Amino acid sequence: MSRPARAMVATAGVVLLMTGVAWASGITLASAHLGAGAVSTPAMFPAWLSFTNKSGNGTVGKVQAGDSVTFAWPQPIDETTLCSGWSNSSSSQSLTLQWSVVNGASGADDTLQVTGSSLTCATGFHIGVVDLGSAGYDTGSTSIAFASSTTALSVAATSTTLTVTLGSQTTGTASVVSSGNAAVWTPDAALKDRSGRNCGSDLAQSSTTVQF
Amino acid sequence: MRNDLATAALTALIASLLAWPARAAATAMGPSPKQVGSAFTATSSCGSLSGVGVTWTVTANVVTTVVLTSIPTSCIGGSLSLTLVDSSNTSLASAGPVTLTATTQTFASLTGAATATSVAGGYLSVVGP
Repeated sequence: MSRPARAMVATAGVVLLMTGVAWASGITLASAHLGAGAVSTPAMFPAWLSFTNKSGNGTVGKVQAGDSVTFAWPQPIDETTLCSGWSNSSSSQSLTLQWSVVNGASGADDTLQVTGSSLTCATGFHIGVVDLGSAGYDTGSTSIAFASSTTALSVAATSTTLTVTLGSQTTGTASVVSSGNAAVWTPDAALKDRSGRNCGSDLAQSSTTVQF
Repeated sequence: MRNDLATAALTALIASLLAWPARAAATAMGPSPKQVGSAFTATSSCGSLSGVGVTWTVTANVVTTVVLTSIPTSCIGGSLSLTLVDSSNTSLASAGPVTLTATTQTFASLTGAATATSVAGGYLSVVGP
């Protein structure tokens, strides 16, 4: 073999050897920050919000007497924080209150809330507010009020349920909503469970996008 | 002329030899590599995750949205994952990983259906930044 040929073979060997080294050093272990931790999840929160159209000839998407709304929590609430005149010694409570669908300002969604008062609940009824997910339930300038709505509480060992059945409509004009978004219930911070915890920023939303 | 032919032949041979390792590398990727490297590297957390706040939205008693707050600023840029577990530490639902861009992170969808009343706690993990 000539000298140039020997030189080229030697060069090739060196290159092959270097390539082999490159394979070995190609496996890299990268260090990183690895963090893990346990976090506490909410203990007191709104667990349920649903709407039921009145039985019989109710119009879906239109709030009217006989429609009902159900709120629920996953444990017994301190009943006195919902209505000051109620007591935890009783597992069921009921009173009549005025509930209204209030027209959202400047195109905002309409809301469902307590707009009346009761002597039993001297400091108010601390259920919170429900964003109905549409501005179309009340398109007038007056709230749609249901003055004598049955507001019933049922407390069990691991849950509390509030059912509101709307009474006769006293003001406003209800419109029909055909499409919208889920309703969202924002509980009142004053309402607490029996360990003194409120719902914080936790929310409940309906599984329906058209209410009532 | 004779040397030129020899040189050309050797060049072709060398080119073949250089190409050979590439094929060999591909076929060597099997369950029994001939060379295995290992190393130890210390890791650390981007920050304390115990102070992270959890709030959620529940639909028909199922957790549908989770919002994490007070995430350490030093974790921004890391990859965050969340797992919700029951009282037996069994996973009910998970979310992520997502790259953190702020100290608040919203998970608008979760994998798995976590009944809110069954959730006993959660675990966070952050890889990086």
